[in-house]
Amino acid sequence: MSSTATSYVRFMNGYYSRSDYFRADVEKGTIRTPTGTRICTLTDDFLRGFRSAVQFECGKATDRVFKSSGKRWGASFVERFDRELTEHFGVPLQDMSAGIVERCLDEAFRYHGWGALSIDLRDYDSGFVSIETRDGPMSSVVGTSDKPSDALFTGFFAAVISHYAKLELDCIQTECPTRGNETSKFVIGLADRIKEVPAWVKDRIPHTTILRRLTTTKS
Amino acid sequence: MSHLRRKSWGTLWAKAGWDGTAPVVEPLRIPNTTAAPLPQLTGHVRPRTLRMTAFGRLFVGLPWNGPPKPDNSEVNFDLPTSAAYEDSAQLNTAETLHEMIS
Repeated sequence: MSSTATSYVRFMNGYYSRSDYFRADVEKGTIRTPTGTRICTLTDDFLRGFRSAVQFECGKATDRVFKSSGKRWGASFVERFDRELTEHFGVPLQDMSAGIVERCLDEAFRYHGWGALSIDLRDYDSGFVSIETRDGPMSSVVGTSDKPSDALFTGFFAAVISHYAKLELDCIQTECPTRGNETSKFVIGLADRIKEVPAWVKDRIPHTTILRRLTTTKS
Repeated sequence: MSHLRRKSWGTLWAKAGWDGTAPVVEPLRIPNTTAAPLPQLTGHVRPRTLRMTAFGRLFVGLPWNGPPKPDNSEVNFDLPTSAAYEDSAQLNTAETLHEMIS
């Protein structure tokens, strides 16, 4: 650490923003990360078609299927995220400052094309955490819809935060661009404490009002 | 909320009040004024004094020193000092990070 008059914190170049993070092998036709994880690039048209196909096959269970898939994806992602960043920074991720890890998570989202992410900890003491994403892959291809469209990410966030909290947490999307909101917003908490949220979302109650109701309701 | 971002990532999620047992604002507790008998009204205790006594008892135990302060006891912002870190540390994002944590 330098001991200059203005003590800036030195921070390594981002892991995901490094120029060689995506390594293309033209002969094999593959893209891999530095640790060998295979990357698959999907077009908006593919995502739109994939979503339509799942809706056709699963009907009303579509969101549940996406959420379940998101949980599996989140569980494998968080395992990689832990391992790769621990190796990159040389310290266990759990011991790193929350501000830095949040920045890395946002960077992972941006560089994989999943949108921009921010975590809102204002209701942290009450046991609720909000996550906001902008330009998410699903919400940007769906168009308009009555229901929030990022069910995949509700499962993803639930798995990721559950992993760190060592508790089984649930995540519900409260706002979505497909319903006219500017960004996607999610609330995370114990499943029993946010069980009423889907009904409020159906009634188009804003995210801030939902959080106010949650924090003033006795558990 | 910047003090939360200075916690370690592991501590941040382990210490959240997930079950709602760590509310930010403690509920206001007013002592039960009927628990202890009020002094008997005798000739030398004027009614006004008695009322003041009961009024005063209402406010016993209030947090007169202000609301509880945020717990900063677990702030952990020690950064790695390994050789690999020192060698490749860059300053190009330092200002952004500095703003974020300050």
